[in-house]
Amino acid sequence: MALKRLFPWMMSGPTIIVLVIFLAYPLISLLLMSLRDYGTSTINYTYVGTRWYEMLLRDQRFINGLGRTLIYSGGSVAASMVLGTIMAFVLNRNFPGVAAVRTMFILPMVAMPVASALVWGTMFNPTQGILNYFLEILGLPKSLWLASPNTALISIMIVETWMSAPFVMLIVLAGLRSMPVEPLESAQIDGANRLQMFLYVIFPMLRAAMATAALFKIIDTLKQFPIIWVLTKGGPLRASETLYVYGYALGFQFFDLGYGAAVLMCLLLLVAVISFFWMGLRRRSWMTE
Amino acid sequence: MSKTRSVFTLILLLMLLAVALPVQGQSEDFNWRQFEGTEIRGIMIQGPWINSAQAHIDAFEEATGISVTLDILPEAEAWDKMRVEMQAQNQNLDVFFNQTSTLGLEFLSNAWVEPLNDYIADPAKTNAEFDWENDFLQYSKDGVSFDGVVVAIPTDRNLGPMMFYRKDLLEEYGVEVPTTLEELREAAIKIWEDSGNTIPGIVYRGSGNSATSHYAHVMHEFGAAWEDADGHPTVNTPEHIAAFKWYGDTLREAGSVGATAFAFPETVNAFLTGNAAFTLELGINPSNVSNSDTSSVVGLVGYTVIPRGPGPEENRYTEPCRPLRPFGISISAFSQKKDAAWLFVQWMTGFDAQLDYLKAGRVAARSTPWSSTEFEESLSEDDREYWQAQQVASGFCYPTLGHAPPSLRDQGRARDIIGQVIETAILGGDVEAAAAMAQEELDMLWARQQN
Repeated sequence: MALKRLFPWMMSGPTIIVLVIFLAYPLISLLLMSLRDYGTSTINYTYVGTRWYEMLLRDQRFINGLGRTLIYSGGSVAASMVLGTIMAFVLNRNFPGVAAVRTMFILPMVAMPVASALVWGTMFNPTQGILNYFLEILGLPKSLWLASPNTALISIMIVETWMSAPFVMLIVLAGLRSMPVEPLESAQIDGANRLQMFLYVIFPMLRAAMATAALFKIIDTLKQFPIIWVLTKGGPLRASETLYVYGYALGFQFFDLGYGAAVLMCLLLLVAVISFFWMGLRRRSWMTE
Repeated sequence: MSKTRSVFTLILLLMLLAVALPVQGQSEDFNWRQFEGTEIRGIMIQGPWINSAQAHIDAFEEATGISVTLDILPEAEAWDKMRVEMQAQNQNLDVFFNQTSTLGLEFLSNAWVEPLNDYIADPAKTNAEFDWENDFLQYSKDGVSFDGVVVAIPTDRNLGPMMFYRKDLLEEYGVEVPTTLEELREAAIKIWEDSGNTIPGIVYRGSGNSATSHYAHVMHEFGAAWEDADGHPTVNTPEHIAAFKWYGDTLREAGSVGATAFAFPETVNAFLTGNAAFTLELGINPSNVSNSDTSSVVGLVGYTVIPRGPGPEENRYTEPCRPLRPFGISISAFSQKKDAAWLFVQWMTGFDAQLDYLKAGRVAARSTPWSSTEFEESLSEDDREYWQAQQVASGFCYPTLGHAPPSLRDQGRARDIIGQVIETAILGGDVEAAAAMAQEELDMLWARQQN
């Protein structure tokens, strides 16, 4: 009887141990760190309670970073969803070379973020980059891209979208491939046009897959670091500094470990809140379906 | 008479030999292979020193049997990596390239760097030819000492502020070599405009944090200083505002597009590929310019000291002259192979390595390479022009030192704060407001340090 009661714990035990070591321990360490002041020295610390969290509320750099993080994540996920879905519909058709095109479209997703960012960095170069060359050919005004505080964040969002859209495409494509044909045929017989078929038949059936893809991308983009760091390091004038970049700069450039940890705890909280909110929405939509 | 002279000469030679022999003998007695088979690891920065040092690292490995693994990184990444490894008390980091102006005080107060005084004084550990007392320039020795604690062996003496210009472009566009910063600004804008916006007039660092090292020269020329008379950090005086505006306006109006992304490598690259008529970048040296593999401006570059700003000329010759803290090689306090690392430090700051560094156009910290025939014979006409200008520039002694207010221990953050004003100026923003905000942030940093 006792063995029967223990059995579930024995089965889940290894997983719990791994979670505690790799998730709970760093999380608790981060939390404790955010309650300490390491000063400009990093040897000793003093306990400061919630002082850093109170300071965050008055820290304009933090507030701006929070706003940028939300804009960055929201904008690039929305663009990825649209682009990825269009790509999935294009590749759901059979045409010569579709397999090669599909592979090509997936490449941005599997490429190393740092390498991709370096390539994009040269493309964004205002004087020698290929993007301004094309703008010039089209008779459009050149852009400063990463060099201007007005366009830096949008430029990085373009890279993020380029990297994220293939993931959305794969999920949506899988959804399209596994979709039953009967509802589509019925809609066709009932005289639905293409837009109506998409809005009232295809999209509802894809909604669960798309919501999952969006959740993954929201989490990814909220904690995006390498491409922002390689392209701008948060500049110019902190115009592309998200919370993650700010936390990194505090922790690893200025060694303000306590305050940096507090910033990153807030980011963690933000990711958790958005994830729970999103999952709650999904659960509600399942219950109503 | 001639016989007497010959005898005298012979006696003199014998005396010299007698003096020289023990030194040579001790030197030969020094056991360079005492740590054979040891492996040491270091972090170095990309730039002139590592370029000239590569051959000497190979020679060191061969002579000592010690194998050396180096992470060679761009400057900013290297400092970050060092800090992270020090914070983690990594025992596998043995040596590192130390920008003592930025890291010196911070690393010493955190006990991250090994004091070298005892090593220098120990004849069992130190080759007699190392000659710390007599061969290293006093200026450089003072620069790496913090209250008598030697934190690094200097590789150089800081370069004095200079201006590099394209002789061919100045002739083509009818521009005289500027002697004031205002003339420089006008000349740079003229070349940019007269070339139909194809040749940027000037290029120098605009990427905030990195740019403060060159802004420091400009601001002193405008009569500004990093600190007020009480030693309090200051960046919002009228002199600073004027200097920030000159720094930003000149870059923007003379066609340096995207300048806020320009740190050391981008600036050097722009000038050496012919994409600027002037630069203030001290990372460029005559060996870069004359190497056709990396330069498209071979034989076209002229050298002079930084043009005069509107500030008082006495700013250039402040007494007493405090030494600028130079680059050097340090040993990590957490290293488990400090003695082997010390051999590496000695070798890489020895005569041969310093001679090659000098030939590459950097101001070597040792004095003997300067008087060597090898150096003299290696000089081209352009090199001589460079060194003549550098000799004058090296004599400058501005009132405050470094790339940020020297009283602030957290130099990295101070540079980041000041860099925001520089970027604002380049982008044509409100410099006064940015400087006021920077002053507030520096005040907070200062107050926090006092607590």
